[in-house]
Amino acid sequence: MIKFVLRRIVISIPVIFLVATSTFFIMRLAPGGPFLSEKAIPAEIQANLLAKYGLDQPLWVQYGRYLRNLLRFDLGPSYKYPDRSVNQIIREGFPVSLELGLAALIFALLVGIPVGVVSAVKHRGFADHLTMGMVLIGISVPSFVLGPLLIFTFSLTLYWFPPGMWGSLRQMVLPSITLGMIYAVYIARLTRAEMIEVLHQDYIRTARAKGMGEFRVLWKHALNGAMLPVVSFLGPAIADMVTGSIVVERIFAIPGLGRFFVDSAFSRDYTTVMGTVLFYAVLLILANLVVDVVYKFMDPRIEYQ
Amino acid sequence: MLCSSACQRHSEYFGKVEPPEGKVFRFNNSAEPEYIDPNLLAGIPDTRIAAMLFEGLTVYDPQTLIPSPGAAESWEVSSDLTLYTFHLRKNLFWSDGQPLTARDFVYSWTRILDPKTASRYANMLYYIVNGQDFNEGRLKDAGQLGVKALDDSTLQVKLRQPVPYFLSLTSHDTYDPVPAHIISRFGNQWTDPSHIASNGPFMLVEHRTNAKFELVRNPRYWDAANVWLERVTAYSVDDNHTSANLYEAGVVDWVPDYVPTDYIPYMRGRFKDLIVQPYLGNYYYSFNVTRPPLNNPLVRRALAMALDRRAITDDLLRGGQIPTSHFVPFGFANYHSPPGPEYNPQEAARLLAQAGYPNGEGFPHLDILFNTLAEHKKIAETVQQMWSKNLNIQVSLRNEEWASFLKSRQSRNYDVARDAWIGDYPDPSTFSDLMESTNGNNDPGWKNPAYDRLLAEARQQADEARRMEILQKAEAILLQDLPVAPIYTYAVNALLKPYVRGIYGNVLDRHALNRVWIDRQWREHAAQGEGKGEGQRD
Repeated sequence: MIKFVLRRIVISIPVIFLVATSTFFIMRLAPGGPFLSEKAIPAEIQANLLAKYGLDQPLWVQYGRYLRNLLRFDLGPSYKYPDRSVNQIIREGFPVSLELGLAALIFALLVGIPVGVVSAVKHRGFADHLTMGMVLIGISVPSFVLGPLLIFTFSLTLYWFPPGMWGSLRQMVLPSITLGMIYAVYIARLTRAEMIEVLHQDYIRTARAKGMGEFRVLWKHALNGAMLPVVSFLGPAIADMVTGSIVVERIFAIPGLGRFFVDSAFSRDYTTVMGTVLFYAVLLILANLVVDVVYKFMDPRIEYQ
Repeated sequence: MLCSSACQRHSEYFGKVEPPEGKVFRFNNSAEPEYIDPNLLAGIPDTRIAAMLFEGLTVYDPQTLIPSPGAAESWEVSSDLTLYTFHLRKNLFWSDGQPLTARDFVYSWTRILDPKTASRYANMLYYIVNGQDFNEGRLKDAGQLGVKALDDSTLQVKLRQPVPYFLSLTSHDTYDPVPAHIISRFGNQWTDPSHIASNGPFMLVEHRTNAKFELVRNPRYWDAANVWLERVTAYSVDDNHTSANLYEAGVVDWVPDYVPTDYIPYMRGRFKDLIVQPYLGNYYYSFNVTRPPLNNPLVRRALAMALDRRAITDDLLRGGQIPTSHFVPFGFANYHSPPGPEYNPQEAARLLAQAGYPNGEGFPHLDILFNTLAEHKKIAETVQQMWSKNLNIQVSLRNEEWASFLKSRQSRNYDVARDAWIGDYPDPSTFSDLMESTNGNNDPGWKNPAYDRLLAEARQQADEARRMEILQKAEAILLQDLPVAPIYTYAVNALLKPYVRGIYGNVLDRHALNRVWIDRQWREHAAQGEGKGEGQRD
């Protein structure tokens, strides 16, 4: 097991190197640069700026310097916000994105699993049709529609929750639902499908035949088996929630890392583009690794070479 | 989701009208500021924070925009307007208790002009003797700059030309002092809340990127006794709709600009807290005069005269913009723009025929370049239709994302490009200088020796009335030759809760938050009638 984890980590080093190299050069193909503005900067001042950040040197020199700094985990200063380093931007922004992602995950699990279980148990019954109908709506409504709808209803009409910002528990409710909804409905569908299959297995019949209570059968035997595909879905889903919250961060004015990921590309903030891309690459690699490990614990039949 | 039921509940105002607890004021500063260092400022959100933290020799009066005493209590000006002597207030301090002297101004002005600082606005200080040479690296000795501290409280400034509006410049944030003792210790991290020292009405206690700036009253500010607010929160929410939501829900008291454009036609005349104010900036189309057929002034005039500007402002935008055929916007005292290319489709068609394209025949294909934004697209589509209808010529639209657009426009890789300029100080030269042949913002690439000569002459002119005449003559040349087609003068659309006092509209959109207070009896005052109900500060 430890050998497996170590090998995966070693393999990911060239992956990260490739990501760094391709991002570095592709980024420079985009026209413009980090110091363009509506008001043209005199050529001399432009030259001063480029010199200050070493952008006047040949590209391969800049690339070499970037890699050297990267080995020391120094992602450099942001070109757009020069009083902040990219490390600092990630340090400030990522915990917020992580909180948002986790809150959305908790919402998705708390809603998705029970809904899935109920639909499976009442398979083809009224409750099943009702919940699956709602799930269909949940899948069809994108976050940029759901978010404003929730704000309109709960912030601007009922005044229950604030329409934006991040920090207090009340501020977390609407964004977490907006981000978590799509995952909740996927989890509900996955749980339902697996549950229906598991409930027809022999060991469930055996458990019932032994006279075990229905709740215990579901909770102890059926659910455990039905959770495997949900867990494998969770790996990419968590990474997706933490990195893919750009739209939700914008609608609710949440100071997470997601917006830097997009905005830095528009403002040609080279160091921030590099920093966020690499950070997310590492995050995805880690999330997938964690899922594989958890999988092993949940299903002892799986062997890692 | 234009408007919730909150609108119906308080039909005169947009959303909640409950003042915040305590002496606090909350506003949305739109985008996250790039810099709050006055030497490095880049955008309007930057200046809103810097203006609260730092104070220059003079400050704009928020109602009249007349420069009034700031860190300097008085000054003398030589008769040729090239030598300014400022007398600082006694007992000026930085917020950390260090004394502030004339040497801090010398340090700050030297720092902004230092090529190593690479300040984007350094050219605002090129008026100072040797300022430009020092910034462009031709002069290494900062001691030769035209700024000297004669003693702790006297600052002498020598200018390379008469500058009648120099006191407006010293009110601009680029002329603010910065704390040498903090910068030498912390380098470019000096603006961090744990390090920064400021000399303005407020000091910074917290900054969270993309979230907010928290400021509190600076007890060491010379006029702290007259600052009513104890705390100011400036949020950095750049989505216009989210910003309006926060205002509607009563989370912020002021949205200084960027009310969603699709809300404005609905809100105008309906809500008393929507404030529409002309702004010192123009929206225009630049013609690339280095390419045919736009190198022909007749073609440019025909295109400019085929624009129905009123249809753009009143039917399309509906946000209080003022249609204009001038390059210098309205609002400068003693300055009157000469007549520009008014809308006249028949004359436009005649000019185009005279240029060799009767009824648009044989006219080459042009494109209109703009940056990706709904509003620019709508305007470009309207212009496309007007040119097609009035001149029978076909143009296509070309949109690019921001950085690519700037690159294309600055490298003159376009035919017609969306363009705009916001004035830096209240003098017409902040606009007329743009079209000088050497100016980096001369996007059309227009070169006119007579125009350049008049600008040079105006710079040597100390007599204000005479100088205005010269600048008007220059604009007449510009409006004859038309390297640009003026379209409209900007308007600021702001939202301001009815209980806020001390925010005044002005064309520079500059506000002094040290004058702001919350009127808790605003309903009674509003009932007493407009104008009389200003109330008293407690």
